[in-house]
Amino acid sequence: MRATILFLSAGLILFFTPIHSVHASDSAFALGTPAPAFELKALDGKTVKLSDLKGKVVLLNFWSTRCAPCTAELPSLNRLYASLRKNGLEVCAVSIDASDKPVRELVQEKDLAFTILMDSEKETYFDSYAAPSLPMTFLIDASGVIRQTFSGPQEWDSSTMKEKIVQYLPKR
Amino acid sequence: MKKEWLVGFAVILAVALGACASSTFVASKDGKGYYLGNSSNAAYLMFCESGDLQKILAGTQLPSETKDELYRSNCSPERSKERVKQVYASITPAQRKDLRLAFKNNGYDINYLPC
Repeated sequence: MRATILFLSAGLILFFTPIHSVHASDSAFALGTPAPAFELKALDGKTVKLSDLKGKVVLLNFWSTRCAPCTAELPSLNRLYASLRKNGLEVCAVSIDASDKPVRELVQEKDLAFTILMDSEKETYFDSYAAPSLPMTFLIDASGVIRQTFSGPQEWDSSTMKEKIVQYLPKR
Repeated sequence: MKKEWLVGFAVILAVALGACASSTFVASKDGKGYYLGNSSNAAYLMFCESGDLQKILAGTQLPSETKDELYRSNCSPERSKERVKQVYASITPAQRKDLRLAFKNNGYDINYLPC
């Protein structure tokens, strides 16, 4: 019985992973180049521009409610944000969902505290950032330069990941 | 017991393969989606045999070399996800927008599949 369940799990993972978790080894941008500007609507109706976040380290995460690996990493991203927010970390999770309804529901369900932006037309995700992966995250330093890219889901609040991010936060 | 270990290993392998798969974007239509540059017959039928990719590329202002490269990377024996990814990364934001809208105008969506 257990073997059957495990076998079915393996099949399901193989079936869903290539579709919902789209990975690539790189992006259009070399590390150390300025992050493309963006101007997107947040769920609360406010417009957020990358230039508004200058001076903060930004994790720009692209995701969708229909991408299982994307939603799976959100709780750890939330925990990371809670622990490093006061140190100058900003997390902007850009949803490419066609509608904000499922996004609002998921944000409420997972009690996400960071900024959620909508990019339904994928102008930022596809056109500006040329991000072939979902989820895909860009680490942008306080001067607006891309320092690292992360393709696929991450364990954001792991000590290794925190070390990678903390090095760019303002020294206290 | 041995069988369970083997199945457990299969699960881990599936996760590992999924997490490490290097690819480029997915174009989907009518609930079916394939990576561009995919060598599968289903992808060939969807993008090439149908004439869709030809129509999509004809609907863009991309340079003819870029169109040819994208067509070759999807519809010739030299099909290559890596090459598609390189072309995608090398074109300008305006050209990516042009390409995205051309897919959209032909009923496709990018990296977004209905479950």
